[in-house]
Amino acid sequence: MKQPLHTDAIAPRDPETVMKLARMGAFHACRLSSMRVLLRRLKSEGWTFERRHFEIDAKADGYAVYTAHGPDHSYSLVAFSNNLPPEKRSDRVIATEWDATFTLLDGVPDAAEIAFLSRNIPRQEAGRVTGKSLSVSRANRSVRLFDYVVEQLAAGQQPDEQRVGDVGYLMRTTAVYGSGKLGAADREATSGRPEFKGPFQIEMLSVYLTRAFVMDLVEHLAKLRAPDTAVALQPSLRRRFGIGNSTGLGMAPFLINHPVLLNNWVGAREHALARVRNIAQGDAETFAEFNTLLARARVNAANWRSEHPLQIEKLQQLRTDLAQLQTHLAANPLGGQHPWNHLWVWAEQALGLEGQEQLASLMIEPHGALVDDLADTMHADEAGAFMIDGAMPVATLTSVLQDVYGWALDTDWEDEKARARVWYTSQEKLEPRLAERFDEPVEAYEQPLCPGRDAACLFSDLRAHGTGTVAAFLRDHPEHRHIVRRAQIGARYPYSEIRDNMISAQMLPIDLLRAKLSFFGAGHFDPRSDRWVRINMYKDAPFPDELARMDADDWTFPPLKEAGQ
Amino acid sequence: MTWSLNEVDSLSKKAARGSGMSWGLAEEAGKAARGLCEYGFDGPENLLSLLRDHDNLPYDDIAPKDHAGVWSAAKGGLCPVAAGAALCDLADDIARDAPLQMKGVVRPLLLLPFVQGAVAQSGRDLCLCWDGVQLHVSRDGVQIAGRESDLDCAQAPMVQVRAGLAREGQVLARAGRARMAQTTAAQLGEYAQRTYAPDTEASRLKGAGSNLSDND
Repeated sequence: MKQPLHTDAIAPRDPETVMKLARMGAFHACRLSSMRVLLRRLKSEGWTFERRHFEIDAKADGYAVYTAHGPDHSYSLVAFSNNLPPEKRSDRVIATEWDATFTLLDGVPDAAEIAFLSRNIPRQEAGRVTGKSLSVSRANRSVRLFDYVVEQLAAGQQPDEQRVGDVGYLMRTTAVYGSGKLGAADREATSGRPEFKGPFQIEMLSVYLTRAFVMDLVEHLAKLRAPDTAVALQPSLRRRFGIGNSTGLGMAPFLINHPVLLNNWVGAREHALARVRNIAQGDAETFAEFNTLLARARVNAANWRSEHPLQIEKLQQLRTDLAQLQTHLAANPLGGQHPWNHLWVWAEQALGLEGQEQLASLMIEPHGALVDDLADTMHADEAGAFMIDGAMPVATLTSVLQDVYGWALDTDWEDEKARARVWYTSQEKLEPRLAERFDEPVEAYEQPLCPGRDAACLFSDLRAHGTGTVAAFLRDHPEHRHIVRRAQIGARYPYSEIRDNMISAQMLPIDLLRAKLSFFGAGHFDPRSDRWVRINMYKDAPFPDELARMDADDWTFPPLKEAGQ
Repeated sequence: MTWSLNEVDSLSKKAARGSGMSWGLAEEAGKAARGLCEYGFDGPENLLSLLRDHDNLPYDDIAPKDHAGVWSAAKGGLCPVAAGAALCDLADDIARDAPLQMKGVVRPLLLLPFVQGAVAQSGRDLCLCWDGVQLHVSRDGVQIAGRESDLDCAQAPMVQVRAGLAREGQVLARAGRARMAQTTAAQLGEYAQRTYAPDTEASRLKGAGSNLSDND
């Protein structure tokens, strides 16, 4: 791509526009998403992959080891497969057994390590790992697809494409733990390595190798079942399987508890969008590429399945928006001065949130040379932002609150609907949950996950306190310490704070989940309730053994031929 | 068995909250326990000992009151987390002129991560000392001089934080993993338990799930 003429007159979007739950709940993956960043690196650095062990019997009991070799380090996915009775299968965190469990290990395991892991990884939370483990995860089979695909392959036939597309994966991960959980290595232990500097690269590598394992497993089981007739999946159909994921409320507090990281993720995408909008003149090649991407995005939207009424409505909006976008472009082809900004300004008026956010990802997509460096800004030094600036005058903090939490200061917190919910952690399995404040006796256990309400309380006490420094104020008011920290972070990091009410009666946790999962690079968000969502990861991406000879960076949208076009 | 630093931070924060600290101070307690582990000290055990001493005591009883440059608690021992947080908040002023003195600090070693925070904030070296031990803190690290056995002191009659003029003593090595006894983890876990709501069948279903199958 030619380097486009560029200005910087158009600023990134205002956080008041971006950091609203409804909009965050319409975010789509983009080329800065973690999975995309990972595959670009694996490809450009020429990583190699090997299946070192695959010792699994016809009942699916056994283990496998997949190793990825990078320039300086090797990492191994150690997978344990389990013959799980169907009644034990659950995606909830309360489950105790899974179809498959995994760890991503730093290096290559020897027999003793595999033996140690075999006693711990299948037990997940009930086990322990050492600092050599970088992640711990598990996955369950899709009942709708797994056995069907084994049967088809065993009979020498390919599975039905429609059926594959309707589900999209053979297994879904139900938790992928990193950052020191269960004794695994802290993020800081490996974040100095270029491949793990970016956020969630460990988890995304683990999931990428998990997808390869699951596909090998289904072919292996078919072969064991019918050695004479079994066939492998046809490669292009094979790539249409992603790896699923089921995500619950546990992920929602993560975004609130990592404000600097959230800022850096959103900021990178917003700066990418602003850079594209600032292009003074585009080129025909990129316009053509964009139009193809739009057609592919329409295929993606058409293939996206959900039974949830809210999501059905959103999908309808997305499909309508994309059709309208295509019609608009037919009548008003890209060109002239600031072509992308013209399109964007039109879209802000003409399209719904789904269409706008999909367009943002689409506009960024063909501009890799212009935006890909922003991936290097997406990691966060959260420890560095922890310190409170005690010398800040109370008056300054007051004006920060007015700026960052204006909406909250205008909210009537006496209204029960404004504080209808309570975030709490359950005693059982330490599962994060959401309760109705006025129906359930859990207020005493409330987690500090409503920055807006807390900021409003702080504001009122600051007013009463008068002048002086934040240090003096906090000596008298330790109960405000957490929100003072947040507010000061909010003043420095514009996209760190969600500018919406986390405990209102209308709040939808799935909006938080979707925002986070979009930054991972997930697609096909399929809420199962207002607090639980399924997604698909790496659908249409090349497998590890295909990376060297295939495009590693063109799979967020399906190929056009999938829809027979 | 070793623990990740993140586990220590997370468990300590919950335990501190469970014993009655505000969320903001509990965050500081988690970071302090973790910070001590990063230098090979038993941060969790120090915190556990503090929580036992100060369990559910009112903040006003254990927080620092300033009497002409000497900090002390209204009743009994001074909380190192409350005092440490206050010290960090005043990072730019601390030890600029006279040394800061703190009377009757419970588990004074827990002040070390806060002094490090103040050094990071202000850029000025500081010395933290009590009884026969001195910890010299700079942005480059920590050096220890004097009687190391005093590090584990349950309560120091007088703690000083002063400008760190001399860099002396043994450089403390960094540790990437935490040591925490199972019994310590279990007892911190008991405090942490107080932050978890007891389950009911209704909360199990309503709180996180849906009526749709998760096995399809």
